[in-house]
Amino acid sequence: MHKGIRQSMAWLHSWTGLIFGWLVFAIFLMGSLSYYRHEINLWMQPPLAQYEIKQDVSIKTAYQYLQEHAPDAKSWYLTIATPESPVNTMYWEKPDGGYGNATLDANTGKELQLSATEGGDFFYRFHYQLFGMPILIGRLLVCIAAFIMLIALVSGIITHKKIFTDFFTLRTFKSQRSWLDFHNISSVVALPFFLTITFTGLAIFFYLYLSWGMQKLYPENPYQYFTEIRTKTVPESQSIQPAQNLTIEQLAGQVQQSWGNQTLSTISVKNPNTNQAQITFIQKEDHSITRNQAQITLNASTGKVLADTRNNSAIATLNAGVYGLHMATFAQPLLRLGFFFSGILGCVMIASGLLLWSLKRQIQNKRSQFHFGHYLVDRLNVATFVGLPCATVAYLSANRLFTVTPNSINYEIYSFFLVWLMSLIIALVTKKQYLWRTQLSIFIVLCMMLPILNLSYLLQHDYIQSFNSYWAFARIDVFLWIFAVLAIFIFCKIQPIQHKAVEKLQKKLNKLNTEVSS
Amino acid sequence: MSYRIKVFYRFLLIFGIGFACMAYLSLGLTGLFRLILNKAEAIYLAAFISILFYVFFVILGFCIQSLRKLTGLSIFLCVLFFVATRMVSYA
Repeated sequence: MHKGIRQSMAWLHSWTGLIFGWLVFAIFLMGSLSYYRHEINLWMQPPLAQYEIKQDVSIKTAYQYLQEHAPDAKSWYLTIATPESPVNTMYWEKPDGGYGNATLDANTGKELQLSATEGGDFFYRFHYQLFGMPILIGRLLVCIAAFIMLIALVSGIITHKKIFTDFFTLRTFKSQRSWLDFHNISSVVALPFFLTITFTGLAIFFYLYLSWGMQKLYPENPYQYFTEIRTKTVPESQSIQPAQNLTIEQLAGQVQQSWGNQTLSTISVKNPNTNQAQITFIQKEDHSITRNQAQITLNASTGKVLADTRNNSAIATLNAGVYGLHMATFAQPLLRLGFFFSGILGCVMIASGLLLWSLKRQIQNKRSQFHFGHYLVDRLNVATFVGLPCATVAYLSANRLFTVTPNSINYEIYSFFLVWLMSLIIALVTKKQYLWRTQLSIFIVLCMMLPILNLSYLLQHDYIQSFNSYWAFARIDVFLWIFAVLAIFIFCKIQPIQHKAVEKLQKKLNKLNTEVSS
Repeated sequence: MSYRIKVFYRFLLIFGIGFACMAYLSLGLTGLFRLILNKAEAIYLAAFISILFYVFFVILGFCIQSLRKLTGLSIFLCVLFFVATRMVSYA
């Protein structure tokens, strides 16, 4: 190991960054997109964008469906349709312990027969459990990556002798220093965000790698932990008997008396259609980082308001805060945009760090011989930093080009992985000087074409009646244009950095040759 | 020992024994916190502290130059947490 602490940390920072950098980049990019998963869902399911949502109708139709299809369930959990997510989604626990679920048209209460696209949920799930492997393995891999990221962040902070000075230093397009400055600035600007998001991500999944405590204290059902950390458990005083519950209109009317016309987020019912039925209404608006929205619990048989069952202890609030900070459900549009761009800054930080690693080793390489390790890192860099965004745009484009049904293969996901694989293959066979420009060109073309393809698709299917109806789709297109412009900027400016690096390398080699010959 | 074997050994020690330390610390703290907190809260607080400990342990592990000292410290901590866990009867 190196003698100084700072040197040791620099070594740790470089190698942990290199080993897990590409995976962490993918997780950061997918996680950033997840902030807008509901918007992406709407973009990918245009018929949904035309739905007009009336909360009372949504609640009534969903409740009726549950009464008809799961009257004897142990519990119901309903997410009420909102303009951002205009469908009722629900699941229920069956008497045998299994689960049922349904997605309904909020107005008619009928099961939806829309495109089987995964929409933005694909990005959301990918960022915490990856794809194409058992869920547990995927989540554990993400946990390892998050831990390594946390180590890289802490070691990166210790490495920096002059973190404040470095923050105000940007030597643009000047070889190796430029990557270092980009790396420093992108790291420092959103450092609290990176630390928070990485640590909270790791803490959310603690039950996967520190499950022994749960197994010890809850030997029969370790997942009882989740119930108890969220709610106070009150022992049931009497046996559960079937009983007629009040109608949803009566229960909702009582909630309206207390709150007025508030938008609701979820309704959950414990022991429905029994003498101990409890119905909990939770408001949508959340001003806290601890997911502490206002809620009312009623006895569904009598309509009596019950005491708050939420666990409000300090540790339970800490747990909710960890979830809340990671999911950012409290974030209003501007803050959400800030989180999104902080995530993108995370991608810039990882990319510039890995590019710096690669460039530094090329300059240090005294012989101009082929080095497989450097070759592979260069290719994997491009296949991840440009290939993955290309795959993401291809995923969205496939939605406009193909129709996905529950019985067909998911063309969108196939396109995503096919384009990503193609990007790697192209990177492996492309000469170094054309590497970035080739792939960036593909990305720019894809980003610029998609809004046009989108517009023609929407016009062809009569999804645009006014500017407002178009805005639900155009807002995604605006982001595509922004990223296209950013890619054009990089396309123009990456060459000077590479030229300077080559010049520096050439000078070094010439100097070495002169020394050898003399 | 070659440099690569030393690095591999260091990684194994820090991440492997560090994880064992974290697991035992989590179990020990769960038992300890159980005396004053509810079950779920004891589990969560113990896990939260243990994760922070693991981060600290890994960083410290890469700061210690001598492999002997690092091996000694890792084994000592692991045994300490194991015994502590046994003492609160959660092993």
